[in-house]
Order: sequence, then structure tokens, then C-alpha cells
Amino acid sequence: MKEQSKIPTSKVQRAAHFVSTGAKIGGNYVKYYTRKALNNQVSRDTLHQDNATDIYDGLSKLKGSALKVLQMMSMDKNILPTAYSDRFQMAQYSAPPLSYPLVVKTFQKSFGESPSEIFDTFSKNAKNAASMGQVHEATLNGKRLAVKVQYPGVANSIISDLKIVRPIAMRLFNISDKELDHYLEEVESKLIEETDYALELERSIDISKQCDHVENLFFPVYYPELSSDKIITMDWIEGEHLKEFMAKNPSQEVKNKLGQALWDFYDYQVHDLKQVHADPHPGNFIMQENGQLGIIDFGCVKIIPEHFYQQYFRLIRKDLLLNEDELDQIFYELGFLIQEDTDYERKVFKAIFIEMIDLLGKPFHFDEFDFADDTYFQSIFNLSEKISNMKEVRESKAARGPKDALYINRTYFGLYNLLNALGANIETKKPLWLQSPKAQIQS
Amino acid sequence: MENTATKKKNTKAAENKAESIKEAYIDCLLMSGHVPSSVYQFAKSLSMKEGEFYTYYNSFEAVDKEIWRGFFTDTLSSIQAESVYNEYSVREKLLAFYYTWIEMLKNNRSYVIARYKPADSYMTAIKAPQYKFLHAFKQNFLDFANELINEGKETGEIVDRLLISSRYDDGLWQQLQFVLKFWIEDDSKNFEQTDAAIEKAVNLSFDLMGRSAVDTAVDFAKFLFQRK
Repeated sequence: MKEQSKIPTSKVQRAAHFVSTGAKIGGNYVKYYTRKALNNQVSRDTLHQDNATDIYDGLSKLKGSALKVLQMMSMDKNILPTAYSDRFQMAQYSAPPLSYPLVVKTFQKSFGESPSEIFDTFSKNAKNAASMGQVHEATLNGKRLAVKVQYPGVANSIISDLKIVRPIAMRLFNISDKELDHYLEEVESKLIEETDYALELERSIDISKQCDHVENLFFPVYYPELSSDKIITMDWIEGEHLKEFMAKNPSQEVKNKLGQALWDFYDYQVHDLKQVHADPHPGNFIMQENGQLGIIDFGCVKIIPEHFYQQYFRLIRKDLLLNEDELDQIFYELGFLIQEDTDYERKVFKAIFIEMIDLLGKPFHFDEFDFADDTYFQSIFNLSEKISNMKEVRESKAARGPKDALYINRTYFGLYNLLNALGANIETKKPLWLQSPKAQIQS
Repeated sequence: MENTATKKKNTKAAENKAESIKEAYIDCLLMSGHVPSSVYQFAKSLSMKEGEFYTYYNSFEAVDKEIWRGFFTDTLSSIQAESVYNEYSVREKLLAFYYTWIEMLKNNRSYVIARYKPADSYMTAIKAPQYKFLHAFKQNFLDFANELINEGKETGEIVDRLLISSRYDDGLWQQLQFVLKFWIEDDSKNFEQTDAAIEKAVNLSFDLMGRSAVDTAVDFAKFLFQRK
């Protein structure tokens, strides 16, 4: 409660933060022109650096969807210095806990009864925060249940947050209104979708049924009759979140088992179901000492359009990087390159994207990959640091890359990070057509 | 024995009659858009003698007064009937009050909007003569608020501060008016935004009334001052 009171909650307060950030940026321009008047050596880079720092300071006071949006965009455009995007990463929607009387009211609106009438026991205080809501513990007929209750007015606050985020994002990413829409539409629709608990329930039941066969994976049972558009009831899952789990020093064997389950889960969703649990946040996974992985919270699910899938995952094929013509064609189709690019720009961006794809696709190029290897992650960070410092990238006004990639990149980025934190060495299963020719010969 | 039974029956009948006058008054107000022009005309529309009206209420203002008092007492008895109410902290009791009260008002939203049209500065609006009917409700609420404040002081949720703490109840009354105004202007589905506003307003007020860094700072300053 105490900690929460510091989070700016009202729109006015949030707007005030943005205004002060905006004022600081204005100040930086003043500083820039003064410095420039005194000394022409000052580059615009210093200005950008100053801006990025102030923007981060402003943003770090914010939680909620505004932060989530900027964090995702920064990951995609590689604009913010890594140190910042690192801290943005996986920021959770956060709000002060719901009071118990409001939980009672939500139940009454949904079922006409209060929680104590429906369940045998019901915890007055929330046990966990969840996406856009909080989790209470309940029991019914001897069964331990997790009951997720949504914050009221969450959809409205998302819409107002996104309105606030618009001007600052235009500044920050140096892109036009139209280009910004490209990203915001995708993010807004996903965030609004996350507030639809009825849809989440449907997807949870659907995906958990379809992924049931994946080894060492388990899902809670959902109870539609005890759920509504603001409430989801499911089994309580025993186990720990990543951080607590790692503190107990699990054996390498168990870690590999969990990592493998995680990889297989994503492999099956992306390549077979073509819809994916797009929020690989540590809070959404429960780990058990016997190497069983529990999956909760299907709030954010990205449906992968077939055309995008074909184009995007072709990029991971190792041999493709050697085939210049085919690669160019894909780059144009996915919008990494645009017709307006000059020859020089084309050369620069192509080099960047090839390097990025090569590095991010690396786990796919091996039959086995050790995610505990920090040097691999260091090279990813170094690359994004390098890209974010490139003048050409920062000054490009175009939003590059397909909007569908926003959540796919976030998913893989999150997955790699989880596997790294877990220190798992896993067999990188992938669809047959994605396997390198060499691997195909071997198998 | 028989006597008390008839007496009970009579009070019951009187209550029903008062209730039906109340309903007819609301209906008349909302259908015509204004307070009936005279008690005579209103009584006639109910096929009732003017004199009979006065046995229940002495004016239309008294009817309004009774309606608002009813919202309050119904709310209070409804939250106190909840078994968890006694386990609630003071903060939760106030929250429960607002949520239930707004729910009661929801059933009479048109009436509330028709009767409570706050001027731009809603803080002072209630002082205006046409809001005299709210005074009894205000007193009821202040009594309830003071009860909560005293309980809060006992449990330590609320800090007793010199000069300021005697105004806490006033603050809560302002808060109630804020909630009411917010709800009247709320256009969100199922008045979800009002729920959020109540939550935030009550949390803020209790954070202000509770022990905070300011108290510690004052205490520290006092200590330093006394040592001089």
C-alpha cells in the first residue's frame, strides 16, 4: 500500500509527468543551441543522449500501459540505450490493489452474490498481482482455487494512457504521426483484448487443451461457471516463480527439463497453432522441483497471420542470408526496407537487419543451445547498443518492420531471457522446413 | 395484545402510504420535469385530500428529505448486514458504504440527477437554499463519518492531529460530494469509472489521515526545537 501511493495514478498526475519531461526536452534543445552557438563541434548525438536520459527519468515514474507501450517500441526500434530498455523490459501493468469491498461489488455485479456466499473460503487480501487485476485464493469443496479479479475501468485508463503516450513517443522515436499509428494500433488492440476476461478464459481453455501433449507442461483447470467478464476462476497451482525457484539451487537436469518444456511449448504454439502466449513474463510460469512447468495467464495471445509467418520465419533459415535476391524481396515485403530508401540507406539497413537476424536466429541454427551462455546475450546487447547509437537509425523517420513482429519479437526476447535466467541447455526443436540442410541430412 | 397488533398494522399501513406518496412524487417530478405546482394538485392526482398529505409530509421538501435519508439508512443497514463488515478496517467500511450507496442511487439515477444539479462549484452548491432537503442526509453522513473517524483513531488508522483532525468529517463530506458529482457525470459502462474514482479517493483520504512522513518530520522538528 505504502509503495503504491507513490505511483502516479490519475491522468492529471501522469500528464504532469509528461509535461515536465517535455519541458526538460525543450530545455535540452535550448542547451543544444547555446552549446552550438559557443562551439559548433557539439553534435546532435549529445542532444539525443540528454533527451533519452530525461525521457527515461520521466518514464520511470510511470507504470501501467504507457510504460508498456514505450518499452515495447523501444525494443523494436532499438532506440533507447540498452541500459534503459533493459529496465523497461517486462514492466508489468501495475496499480494499487483493489480493496475488498470493491472485490465484493465486482462479484455482486457478476453473480449477484458475494465471494463468501460462492466459495467456502476466500482470502480478503490479494495473493498476487495479475495482468490488469489481482489474484485471490479461495477454496470450494476442498479444492484450492485462484480467483483473478480485474481492476475497474482498466480499459479506459489504457485508452487515456495511449493518448498521453503519443506525443512523447513521436519525440522519442522521431517518427511521424502516421508511422506511430502503425505500432499503436497493434499495441492498443492487444491491450484492450487483455481486458476481456471472457476471451481470455476461452483462449486459456483452448490453448491449454491443445498444448496438453507437450512433455512436462501442465495447466490449471478453468471454471467457466465461476468466471465472468471481470473474474476468472482456475485451480491454484503449487510451485514457485523463477526467482524463488532459482534461489533453491535446482539441479542442472531439472533446469534443462524446465527449459525444454518452455521451448517446446513456444515451438508448438508458434509453428503449429500459429497463436502464441505473447507475455513470457516470469510471473506467468510456475516451476516445480520435479521439473514440471505450470503455465498461467493467457491474457496476451498473439494470433500469427499465415502470410507474416511464412515471410518472417524464412528469415531464420541460415542459407537464406546467402541468397541476396530472395532476401531483398522479403525485406521489402516485410517493410524492413522501403522504396524511398536511398542506396546508402538500403545498404546500412540491410547490414543491420542481417546482423540482427543472424544473431537472434542463432539458437535455431544449432541442434542444441546453451542459454546459460552469457556471451551470447552480451553480443545481443552490444548489437542493440551499437544500433541505437547509429545516426542513420535514429534519424530514419520510417517505422520499419511489420507490426505483427512487435509481439513476436517480444515473445522471443522474453523466452530467451527466461531460458538465460534459468540457465538451461536445451534441444532447439523446430519445424522440419526450418532446419538447416546439414541438420536435415543428419536426421 | 390485540391492540398492539392493530397498532403495528396501522404503522405498517402508514409506512406503505408514505412510501407510495414518495413514489408518486418521484414519478410526477420525473414525468413533468419539475416539482408539482401545489400540494393540492399533487394530492388530487393521487385521489387524496390535501389534509391527508400533511399527515405524512408537511411539504415537498420534506419528501425529498425523506428520500435522501432513505438512501442513507438503506445503505447502512445493507452493509451492516454483510457478515464481513465487522472485520473491515475503517477504510474498507467507508469504501463499502460508497459502493453500496452508489448502487442504491443507480436505481434512482434520474431522480438524483433531476434533484441534485450541482453548480460549477459543487463544494458550495449544497449551501444554497434549494438544497436544504440535503441537510438531514448530511447530518446522518457526518454522524457515520465521525463514528468511523473515532474508530480509526482507536485502531491507529487515523492520526489525531491538532486543529486538523476536527475537520476530517468535513473532508469526508466533500469527498462524498465529489463521488456523487463524478457518478452523475460518469459515462462509462456500468459506471466502472466511478468505482475506480471511489477507490482512489478513499485511498488518498486515508493516506492523508494516516501516519505519514509529515508527522514524523513534525515530531522530529519538535524534538530539535525543545532541545534548544
